[in-house]
Amino acid sequence: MNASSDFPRLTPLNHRETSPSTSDYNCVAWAAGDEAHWWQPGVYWPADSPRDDFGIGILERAFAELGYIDCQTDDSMETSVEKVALYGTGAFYTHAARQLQSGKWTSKLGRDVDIEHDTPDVVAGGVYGEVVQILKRARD
Amino acid sequence: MPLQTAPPPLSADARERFRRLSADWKEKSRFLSNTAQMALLRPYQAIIGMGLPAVPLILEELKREPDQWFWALEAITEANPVPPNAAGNVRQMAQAWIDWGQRQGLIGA
Repeated sequence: MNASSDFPRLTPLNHRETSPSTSDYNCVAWAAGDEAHWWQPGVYWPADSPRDDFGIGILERAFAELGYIDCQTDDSMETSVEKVALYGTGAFYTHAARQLQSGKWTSKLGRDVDIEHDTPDVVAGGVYGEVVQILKRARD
Repeated sequence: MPLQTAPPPLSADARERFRRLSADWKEKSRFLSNTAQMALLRPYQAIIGMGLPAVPLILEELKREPDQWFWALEAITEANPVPPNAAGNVRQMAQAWIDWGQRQGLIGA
């Protein structure tokens, strides 16, 4: 994958593809460790959600339900802590990425591929807008 | 909830329009995960605007490649044949809609 208007900060050096494209799950599911569902408010979501709420708040509540708490925008690596980055643009949540034990991050790009990337910022600046919030929880 | 009106016969123009719009939508929504964002894209809205004639085409597309067509199908038909235990599972949701379409006589087995 090359940098484009969708991912202006992505370069061959700051990411690598890790699995083929599939429409079986989306980025929110992937960030939550689920490869079997396409997460959508009101359809499949871990918290009570109206079908017409697609803002960043409903995404934050989903991960809060999974035990994550707000850590502002601290995307540093912490031992025994798992972090997720939430992205938004305008009225919509757009993306979620999960930090790996290596300190790198993993993202499912829509129905396209999964990638490993150096920082949350790498997939921001284009189609996903910017990182809005980082959440964390104790790693299993 | 069954369809109350059978869709009119499909014209070649409608098939070609659907093919063009669905390809455009798949490209524009390629990197999106928020279903509302995907559904608000112009080609997807245009397909919803095609109304009942689009339903068999969407169902055939679902058979070929499961994808986020459920929003459009619900909007057009006001039906939702997906059982609760299949919610979120794209392939099972697609199959539920395909089965529904076959029961309605909209697509072949």
